[in-house]
Amino acid sequence: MSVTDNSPALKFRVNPDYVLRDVCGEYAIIPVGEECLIANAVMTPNESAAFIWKAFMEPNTVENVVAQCVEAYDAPAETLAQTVDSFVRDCLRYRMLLPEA
Amino acid sequence: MKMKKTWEVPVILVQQFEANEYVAACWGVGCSVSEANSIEQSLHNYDPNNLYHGADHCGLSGNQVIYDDNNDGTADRMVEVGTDGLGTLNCTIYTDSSYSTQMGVSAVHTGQTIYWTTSAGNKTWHHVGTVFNTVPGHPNRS
Repeated sequence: MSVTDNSPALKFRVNPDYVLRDVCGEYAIIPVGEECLIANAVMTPNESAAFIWKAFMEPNTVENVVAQCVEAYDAPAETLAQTVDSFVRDCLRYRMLLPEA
Repeated sequence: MKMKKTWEVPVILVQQFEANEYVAACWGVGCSVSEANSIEQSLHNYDPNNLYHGADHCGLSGNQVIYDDNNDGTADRMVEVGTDGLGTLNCTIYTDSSYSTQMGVSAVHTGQTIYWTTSAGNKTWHHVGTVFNTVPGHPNRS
């Protein structure tokens, strides 16, 4: 079951308590908020994770992000949809992504 | 046609910093053993075999260890390590040589002469020393 099965138009966005920075060609996500569930840490997204992260820096739907991944990556659409959905679920669990009101 | 990139499962590697209860405090203190031994002599019958301050024990500033238990950047307690078979001893800090008014370790600042006691069994040692800055340019800040 997809994270947006009940609300495909639901938008998500990156929690502003986490900032993405390019450090010498590698991305780092740094928790800066006082109430981050993951704190005192440096997070290193791989290229795909950084792509998805940047897609959610503005409110966006999972469907749109999957469509962007289909354009950018050489992989079956179904595979991209499943992995993006799984990634979004994990990010929601740790409140790194937030539902957009 | 633009070349598509190779897809990999999106992963975020989390490297979490582990809080260490030991704080590298910006100050240290070693016991001025000759002065402390004089204090012991004035307080009670000084027995150098059983109650003394040694340059290789409390005299070493590294043997007074400061802990920040809740990792808030403020020292919470000081203990003496490297004792002569007595284990780790808690240090109680006082404002002056009367050893009557306690002060918190968080109130200690560089340049200050502090007085503290340690105890083991029925023995109490009366220490004295001047707090020095261990990190140049960053007094009282770890």
